[in-house]
Amino acid sequence: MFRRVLIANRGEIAVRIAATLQQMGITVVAVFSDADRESPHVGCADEAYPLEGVTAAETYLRGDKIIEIARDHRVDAIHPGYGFLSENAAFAQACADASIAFIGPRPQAIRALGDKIAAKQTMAGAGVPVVPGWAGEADAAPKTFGREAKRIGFPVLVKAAAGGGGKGMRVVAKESELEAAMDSARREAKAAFGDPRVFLEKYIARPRHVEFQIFGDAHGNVVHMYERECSIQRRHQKIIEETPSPALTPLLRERMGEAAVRVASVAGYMNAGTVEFLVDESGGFYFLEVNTRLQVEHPITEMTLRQDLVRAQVLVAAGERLPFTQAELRPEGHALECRIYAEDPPNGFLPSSGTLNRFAPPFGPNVRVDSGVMESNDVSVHYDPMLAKVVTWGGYREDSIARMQWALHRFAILGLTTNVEFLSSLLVHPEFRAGRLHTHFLEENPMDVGKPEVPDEVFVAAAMFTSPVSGEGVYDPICGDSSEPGSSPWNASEGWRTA
Amino acid sequence: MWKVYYKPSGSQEPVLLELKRVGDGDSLQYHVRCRSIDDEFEMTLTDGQGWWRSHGKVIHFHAVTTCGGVEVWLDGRRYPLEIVNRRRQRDAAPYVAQGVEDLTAPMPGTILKINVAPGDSFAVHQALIVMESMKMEMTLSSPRAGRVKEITCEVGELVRMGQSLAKLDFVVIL
Repeated sequence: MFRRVLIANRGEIAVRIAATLQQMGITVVAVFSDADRESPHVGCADEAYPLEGVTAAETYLRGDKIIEIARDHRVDAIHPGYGFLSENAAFAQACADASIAFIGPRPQAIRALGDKIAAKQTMAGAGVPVVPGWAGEADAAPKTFGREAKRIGFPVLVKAAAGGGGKGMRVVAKESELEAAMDSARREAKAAFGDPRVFLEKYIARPRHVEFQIFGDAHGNVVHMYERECSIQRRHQKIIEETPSPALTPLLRERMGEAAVRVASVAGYMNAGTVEFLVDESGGFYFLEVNTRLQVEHPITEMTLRQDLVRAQVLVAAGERLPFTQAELRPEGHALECRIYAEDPPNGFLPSSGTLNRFAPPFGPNVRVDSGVMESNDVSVHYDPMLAKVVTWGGYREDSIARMQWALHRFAILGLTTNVEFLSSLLVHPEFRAGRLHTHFLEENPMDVGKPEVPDEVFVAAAMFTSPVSGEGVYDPICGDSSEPGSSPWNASEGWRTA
Repeated sequence: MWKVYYKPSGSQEPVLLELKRVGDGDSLQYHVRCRSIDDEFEMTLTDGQGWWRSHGKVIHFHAVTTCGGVEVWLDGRRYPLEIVNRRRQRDAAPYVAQGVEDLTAPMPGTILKINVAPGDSFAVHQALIVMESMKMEMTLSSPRAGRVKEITCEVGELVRMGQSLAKLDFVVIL
């Protein structure tokens, strides 16, 4: 077993991975950018080394620097988390070349599944249902794309071959719009992934996004760990995930689980991965792609299966057998995850930045909060604006939703705008309650976060906080005096004057 | 007695809060007056969060200072408030003008003086009506020039917050 593991990541996932590693008796080595000096993922590690620089490209994406640190500090294995280098086959290979274990799939599998076009063809060949589409050739003439789009039938989706996260993706309603959409998708794909190739796919109206967790070991064992429904998305990014999916019948679940295992077997998959499917309104399902990493939303699977996915990842990467068999994986109850983002939902979900003057997560039974920020941290524009994940478990869907409402209602965050109030209104929406989810849910059901009348108690609370203990007068602020971090007018007399 | 004027972000109307420490000094006991509230509470405060009980009902909050204001978290929501500086209040432009607009009372009080009559023209920031609220004089003016259409209050009248005091016609220059 590994003795020293480096986490090549930041934020909540680095904190979460560190917890499991330490619970396994493994020394945690963290790396951090200049902007992350004061981040919790550094504080919770056993050792931490700087990656000089601020941007992701200068720091967490620098595989060479990270491997150098790993070598210098006698690290046995690297956990890449999600994002950054997690799906980078060259980095996984470089780890292997440096005799450092990569806690994830083999480089060949990352490469093979990372090419979305090739992966789809392979899986279609293995009898896994795929969305009708056309992969074509990278340099096919626009006319050929036009002909193929007509064969598939409009509307079609233009997608980046190397894509993810909605980048390089366009919905095209009619043939006349195809060429322009392809050009802009190619430009975006080139900028985001360095690969301008795009392909066409049948556009499925109101699909559900249902993914299956898969896990394989080096001994040929492959299991699926049931589904997660991630249909609630904004800007093609998930914000609410749940398991089990309200849409899956036991029969459909069994068929999709079998398909997921087939995908893993065909790919010779080792370690944790996720097979993404679209489910249409009549219960048809289509293979989309495999994410060759630990997912953001993995905690809901951990809740219903009572397993630690990071622990299993470490064991498998160390050459051990999977710590569970398919028959032992019996999901219980329902788990829900809400992602808390520093963003402004009424303002097009634009990321917000600022200082977290207050960050007080809720604690309670069957409530798990994974976060990578602390009070007084600056939330910068350099990295993903996700502040925390709130995960709740209940015997039934209504129970985990009720727990989530409780948790969101008690999550105090001050200093910047977050989506907490937006998520709260989403949870009470009748369509969400009914489980009628699809990936365009938020466009079709705009949430009214509203600007409610400020309750009188708010002013009382403000006065409690800013008032002096005794005396009399009028408070006239002088900006600057009361804005010093940590200073409360409670302690200061500036601004208060006798009338 | 302490007075503070708060303006919720996005709102035009300052809210007056009056606060007086009462009791023996061992506990944080206050008499608070703000809009519908006129009551005595005992406060529990620790490092930016606290609660009080109002007839048994617990009201829990978090608060932090911001530049020129306070941010309050209460009942699952975040409320940024600005503390209004009375000395600068004159420069603020509290009324949006478009065609006919009501000049309203920013807080409850008594009308002391009406400087204009229907038909009168007025300039930007010209004092139109003077009122007294919580023993403080307030001069009401308009951020735009216009003409008085109607006066809907009288000297000595006790007015509610938000009550219309005059109807103003604006010449909107595009």
